Amino acid sequence: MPAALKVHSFEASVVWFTTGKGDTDIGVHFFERRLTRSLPDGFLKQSQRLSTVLPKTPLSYAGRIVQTSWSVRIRVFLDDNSQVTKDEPFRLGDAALCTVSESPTEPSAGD
Amino acid sequence: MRPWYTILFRGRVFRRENRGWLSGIAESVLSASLLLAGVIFLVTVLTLTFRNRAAGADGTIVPVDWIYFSLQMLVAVALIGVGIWRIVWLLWKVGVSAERRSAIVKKAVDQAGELELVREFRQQRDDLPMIPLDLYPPHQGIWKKYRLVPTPRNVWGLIISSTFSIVFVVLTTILLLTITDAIHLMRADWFAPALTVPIALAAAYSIWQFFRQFLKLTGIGPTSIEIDRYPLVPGEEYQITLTQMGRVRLQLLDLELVCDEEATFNEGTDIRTERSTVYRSRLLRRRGVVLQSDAAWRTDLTLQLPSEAIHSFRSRSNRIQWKLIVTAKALSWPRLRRHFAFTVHPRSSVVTPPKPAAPSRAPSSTST
Repeated sequence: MPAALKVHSFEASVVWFTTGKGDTDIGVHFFERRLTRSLPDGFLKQSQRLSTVLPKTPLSYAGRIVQTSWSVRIRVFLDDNSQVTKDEPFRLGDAALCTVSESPTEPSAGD
Repeated sequence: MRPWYTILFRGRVFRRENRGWLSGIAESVLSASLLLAGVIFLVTVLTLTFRNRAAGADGTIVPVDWIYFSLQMLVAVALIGVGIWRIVWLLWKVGVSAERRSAIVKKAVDQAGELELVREFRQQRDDLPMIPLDLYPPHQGIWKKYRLVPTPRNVWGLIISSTFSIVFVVLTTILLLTITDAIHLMRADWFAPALTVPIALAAAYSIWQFFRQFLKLTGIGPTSIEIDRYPLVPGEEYQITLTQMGRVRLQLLDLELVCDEEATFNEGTDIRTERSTVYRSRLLRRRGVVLQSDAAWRTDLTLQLPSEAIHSFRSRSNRIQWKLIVTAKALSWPRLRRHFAFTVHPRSSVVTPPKPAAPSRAPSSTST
């Protein structure tokens, strides 16, 4: 990162999102935004901690056409209006794709 | 000595065990026939009456005998009314089991119990985001605490086929009357006969579709699934009572536990939905089940969800749905499939395995 660019603000969030065949759905469980001008000097140079109580659902799941994942997302906003995003995925729960004897796929069109 | 006319009703179809099936067919055919006969009679009366009011070649108008016309209209409306009433009554009778019909009489008590159940389910969902609310919440059961509600039967097929049947029957009747007039007046008319053939074929096909849809809805009686606890949780065992009503002999009766994933996505200008069955387990299979109108067939069984099963899930474009599917097949009846959707909650104590220590590496990042 060029030395001339400064961090304007940052966001920390805990999100779940879906992947797979369907459009991506996203849910924000925890969100925090802070402006750097309101923070003490050297704040961003030190490790910071965030904590939240995770919900019971939705659990992480790797299905056939639907997958759900959890992630801690940090988004840093720079003075030149650019952003840097870092995702740290984690697994919630121990749900798994069960065995199946037959799996017909039935696409259907609609408006 | 057996009556002489029984010689006309010989063979496997007319055996004692098939009489319930025959009476079901006869009842359905009679109801639909009354409706169609009423429609044909109404169209005939109206066409003949208003055609006769048209001026003849010498300019005279045949006066209408209103008393006779009113009597004819009364008969036609009565046939239509009785036909519709019998169809609706048959649909309601097979859609509701005998026990539930008697329970409806105690509606005030039932409503209080139902409200309590709904309140109980809503409280359980407060801390379970993305677990969908039941579209059809379970009701109070008779043999077990909860009775699952089946996905409503699709009566639109019956409504559409009956509408088309009536339209084509009306057109065919009018065309036949026109042809009769042409023959009576010895007038050459090729247009009406040419049009009558395709419309009559369309009428016959739509009537056949109407009967098929009607038999599909009324042939095999209501199915009931009751369960001792709700909602369900992976790894737990549940006691189920399956009840099937009807008047036929089932060649096959299956009960399956199914989990479907459903994903909605944009493809060009279309919105498509794809469904995939990711879990299927047969819980019950019976052959040769004889259903009797005076006694429901009932059986108890155990249901266990896999311990690693995912919970129910519903977001804007994605869905995970658990359901019980009852499949019944009877000779000469359309195959029956009834779906009983239910909600699965996650296990109460969710243990998240600790993440193994990752080797040191350069952090990955994205910039925009």
